[in-house]
Amino acid sequence: MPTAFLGLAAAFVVALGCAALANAVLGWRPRSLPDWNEAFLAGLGIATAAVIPLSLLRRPGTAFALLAALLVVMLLRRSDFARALAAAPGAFRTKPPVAAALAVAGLALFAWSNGCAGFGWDGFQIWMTKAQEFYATGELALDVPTPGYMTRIVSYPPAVPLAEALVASFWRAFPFAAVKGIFTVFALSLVVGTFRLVETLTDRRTAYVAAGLASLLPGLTMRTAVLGNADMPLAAVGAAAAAAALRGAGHPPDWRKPAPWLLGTLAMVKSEGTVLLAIGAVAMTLAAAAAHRPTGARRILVFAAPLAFFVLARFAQRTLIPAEYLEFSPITSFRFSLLATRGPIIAARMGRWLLSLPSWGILWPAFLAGVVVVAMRAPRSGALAIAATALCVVLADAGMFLFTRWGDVRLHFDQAYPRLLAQVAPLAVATVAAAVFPLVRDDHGRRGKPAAAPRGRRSGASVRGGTIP
Amino acid sequence: MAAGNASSARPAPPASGRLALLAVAAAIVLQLAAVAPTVMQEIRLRLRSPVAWIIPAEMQRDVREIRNRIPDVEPILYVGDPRNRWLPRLWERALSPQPVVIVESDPRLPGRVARFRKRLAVRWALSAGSPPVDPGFAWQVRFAPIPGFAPEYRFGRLRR
Repeated sequence: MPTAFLGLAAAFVVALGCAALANAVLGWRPRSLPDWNEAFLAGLGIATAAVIPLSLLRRPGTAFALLAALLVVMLLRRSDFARALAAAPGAFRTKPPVAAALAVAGLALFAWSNGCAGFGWDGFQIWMTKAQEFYATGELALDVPTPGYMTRIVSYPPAVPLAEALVASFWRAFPFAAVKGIFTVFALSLVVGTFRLVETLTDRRTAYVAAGLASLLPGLTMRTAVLGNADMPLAAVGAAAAAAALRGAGHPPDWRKPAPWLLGTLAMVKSEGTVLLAIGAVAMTLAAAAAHRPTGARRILVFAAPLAFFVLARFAQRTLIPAEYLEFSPITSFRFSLLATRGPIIAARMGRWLLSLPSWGILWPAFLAGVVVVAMRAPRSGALAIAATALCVVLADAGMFLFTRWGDVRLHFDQAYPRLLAQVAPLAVATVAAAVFPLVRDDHGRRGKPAAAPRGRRSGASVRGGTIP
Repeated sequence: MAAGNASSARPAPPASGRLALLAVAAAIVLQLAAVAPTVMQEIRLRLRSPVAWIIPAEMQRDVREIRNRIPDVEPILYVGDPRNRWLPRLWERALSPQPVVIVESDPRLPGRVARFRKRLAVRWALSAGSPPVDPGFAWQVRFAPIPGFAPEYRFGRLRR
């Protein structure tokens, strides 16, 4: 158990190091926990993109050198930490709302479970195997004598293994129990990201409840989701990216803002992150067009530069580091006969998983109802952009299985689809929250004041169920 | 924080508002009730079998035993049941950075052993099973079964 605690402490240091990196590169000055969370995830994305070419040098000790570099950056950005520490007592003096209890309980359950459980398949066989290899050799390729199943994992983006290898670099031998600590950091990130996303759409009290409900979704953080080892980190980045995109909706496109960096980080966490990135980018573009916001082509190109940086890094990984891609046929192999043979199977299994009470409770039916409510009540709203993005991902993830190379479509679908749903679960929670918010909102002076508009937003630029300016 | 501003002077919410609040509260309770059995199962499982270490202590002991006999650059042939995908890879990570060649204990085994001996100069083997198959040991030592993993293990040098 002491190793698990030390691992958790090391994981927080790594997270702060990543945050310091983002602050240094992008000139951010985080003022709140959600700000720090965004800096952590963006910094991890930047470090991951940098590691892909660095790994080609095949230098053992690369992970340790990166950790040392992050510690130096932390030292250089010590004023950010000093400011956060100075502000901390004030935050603790504020009485925590009852609505936060659910989120704290969910987070505590995850931290305890993560500390005393082994790894799930993905956590051990995929992420930690890559992490151990990178820690020992500095390579992202997997040099095993018998290629086949194991070399399949080379194609996975390396953000989570990199974070694990950085945690492991505090030890002289790879500490299997300690590296798990990074998943508790991701769980905290998920809760904070969901909170900020929902707060941007509704109010603070609703956001606390929504974050609590998200943290207690078995399909997202528990054994049914491979102990949260598989897709929870991507869900955390997705929630933060969506929140940043919403907050940025009232501003002219700016490449230094969190949205493009968090959106790009999606591609560094899992292969499906590239799909999320593409759908998210389209949603942002359409939302801006729907709001008739005039945006110069030059500004859009500059805004898209971080996205291009991450897509290029992912492309470099796929081309420079040989791997086997066994799961799916290319999209060009589509035939209409696939729809006839696999379509009904996929639709039936999809229904089964969306209605799985033990894994998701009533989330997905509520989400589908929420999409309809939001579309009818608030067209051209930030809430609709989030709802439409989540719906597109839910459908696109199911559509991928038209191209599966597995002989048994059901088997592949049942193994993978519930975990893919986890990636947009925070967006689904936010959609439901936005749909029910008018029923519980406080602006009639009945149940406390409505939350203040998110910081930095231009006056009149509300995304709360209204039009994106 | 925001919820603490209610004032007694404020008018009571209309009946429709109260009904809506009640419906939302009921939905939250329904959601929590639906996931509660899974959450409780998760808690029970952790209380019953807390497994902090992914590599069992017995396996770490066996790895030390192997390291005492051969340097960690020597490749090892792992022979095991093809249906068990977890165990060979657990050994692979436990033995890292030692190269581990995983082969299945099926009728093609002798040919594969010969091929790997020639191609990768594999001289050592670890065989798992109940009982473990003999890939052609010149001599072997027996490792005790690891709790939670049924097979017995034999480790030894392959015949030239």
